Amino acid sequence: MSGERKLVGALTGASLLLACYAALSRHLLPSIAAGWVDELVIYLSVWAMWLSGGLLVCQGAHVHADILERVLPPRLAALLARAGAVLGLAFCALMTYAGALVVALSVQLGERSDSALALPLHWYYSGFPVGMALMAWRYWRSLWDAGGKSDAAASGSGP
Amino acid sequence: MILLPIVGLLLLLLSGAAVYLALGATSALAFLASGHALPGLAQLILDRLNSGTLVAVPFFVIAATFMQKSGAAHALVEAANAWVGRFRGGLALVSVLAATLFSAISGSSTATALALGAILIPAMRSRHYPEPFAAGIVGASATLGILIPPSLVLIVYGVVADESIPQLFLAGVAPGLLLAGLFMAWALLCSRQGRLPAHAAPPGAWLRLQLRGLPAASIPLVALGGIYSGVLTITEAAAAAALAAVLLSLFVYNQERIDVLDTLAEAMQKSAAIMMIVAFAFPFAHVIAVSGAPAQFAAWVGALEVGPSAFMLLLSAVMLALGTILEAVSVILITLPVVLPALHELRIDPIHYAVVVIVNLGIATLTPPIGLSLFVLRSLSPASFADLVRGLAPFLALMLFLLLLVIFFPQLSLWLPQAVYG
Repeated sequence: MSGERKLVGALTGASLLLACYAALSRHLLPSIAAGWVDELVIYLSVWAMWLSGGLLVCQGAHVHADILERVLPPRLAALLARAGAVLGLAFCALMTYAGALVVALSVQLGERSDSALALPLHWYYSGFPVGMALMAWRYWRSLWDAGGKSDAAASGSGP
Repeated sequence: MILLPIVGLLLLLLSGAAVYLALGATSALAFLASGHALPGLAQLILDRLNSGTLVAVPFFVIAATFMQKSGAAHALVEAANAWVGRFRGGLALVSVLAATLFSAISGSSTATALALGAILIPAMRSRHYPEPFAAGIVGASATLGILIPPSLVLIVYGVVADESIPQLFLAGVAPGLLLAGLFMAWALLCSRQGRLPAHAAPPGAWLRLQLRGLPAASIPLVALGGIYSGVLTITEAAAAAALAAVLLSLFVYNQERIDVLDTLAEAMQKSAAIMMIVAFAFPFAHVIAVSGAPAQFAAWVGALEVGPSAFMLLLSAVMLALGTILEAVSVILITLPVVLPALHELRIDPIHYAVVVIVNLGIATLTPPIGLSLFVLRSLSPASFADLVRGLAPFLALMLFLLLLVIFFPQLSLWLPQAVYG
């Protein structure tokens, strides 16, 4: 299991345990209930979601319609997949930049959450550029690997 | 002007681009074209994702993933078989009963088809059920996954349409149970004509099988009981269901040794595939709303002077077409921002419309050539594609019948939420 996947599992598990703690404490032990737990549950889950984006790219598991993929000849389908990866790379790189600007502005303004914990909001925001950067990286790797395979095939050393 | 993003989106979707990417790229272009800065798009996504309700999605998926991997689905099938296995075509009835129970844990058609199909299709094959019938009844029963609460698709609908999720869940109950009843009636009819075998549980095993299935069957009671008693919010109920599923998987079922961290990551990845689409649908909905297209569409619908039922029939055709190439959440996120104001114009209750949408999407996922659940069935059944379609055809007809009932009799969906919430 990759480190990335372990991190996603750990964040998800922590989020689940905190959500259960929030529910139990609110109903059974109101004296130890803390409003900030709900906020932390959201932050951890959303971070885990963004981190999963890269793994989904890697596994080709982002939801997509595969009509053309099924009907086109393999060579054309591969070309279309490569065009999709180029678009994905460009978009995710752009979103990484946009997300980084949001984080930078939040740091500059010193934004904090509404709960008693008053967490810096950029902790929550930074999941977005990190996730988008990981996805951009995975798109880049898929293009690189696809390029390597076609070079190998062209030189006759492919499988 | 608004046509450009919509046409761009459809072209990208048809070209096979990931749905989140198609929504995000068209929204980004529309943002830039209208002179807005891209960080505004990122900020919009982050603000809208900062919602406790959406966190319920990964929690319900955790519950389904652990139940699927631990062998709890098998226990549910055996418990259902102890009740109805002694009848002719008993496994077909088991398929509907177990799908109804598993739907109340998983909230997803695909998860239900995968969990039950892997057990029931081979079991029916070994007892000489016709392959098309076996695949057909499992595929059709799995569509109950998005009608019977908790439905992941209804959670997303509730967030986007700003409707009460507990009320949406209740709206799906009567149509879901009616559909289960229709499937069972058809299965019984086929059993008599085709002389399908009975598959009674071993004598004396009834109590043991019920005790084995009871913990898994109690998870929906924890979640739904918590929501409707007013004790738990949707997110708390989802977390309780997920924790119960993890504990049952580890200490009660645990058919194969479960790696907790890896299964949690797997569940989050499945959820992320949905949540990423939801995330990038927010700016897309913003682009559509700012363009004024929904208001124009509502005015156009008003001028057409069509009644609510005719309008929903027209939209059903659109959703069936879209649903054959896209999965349910994407169809809702693409169509809802445009359609919502028209619903108000025609005085259609958005809760009623939600059930119409769900039934449509259930049909679409089983409709050739591209329906997504078809491919799950193909991976589980050796039946040819043509046989699969032949096996599904009567169930699709029953679902179309239910769709007409839901459209023309709004009370079918609305009486339960109205009875509970007034």
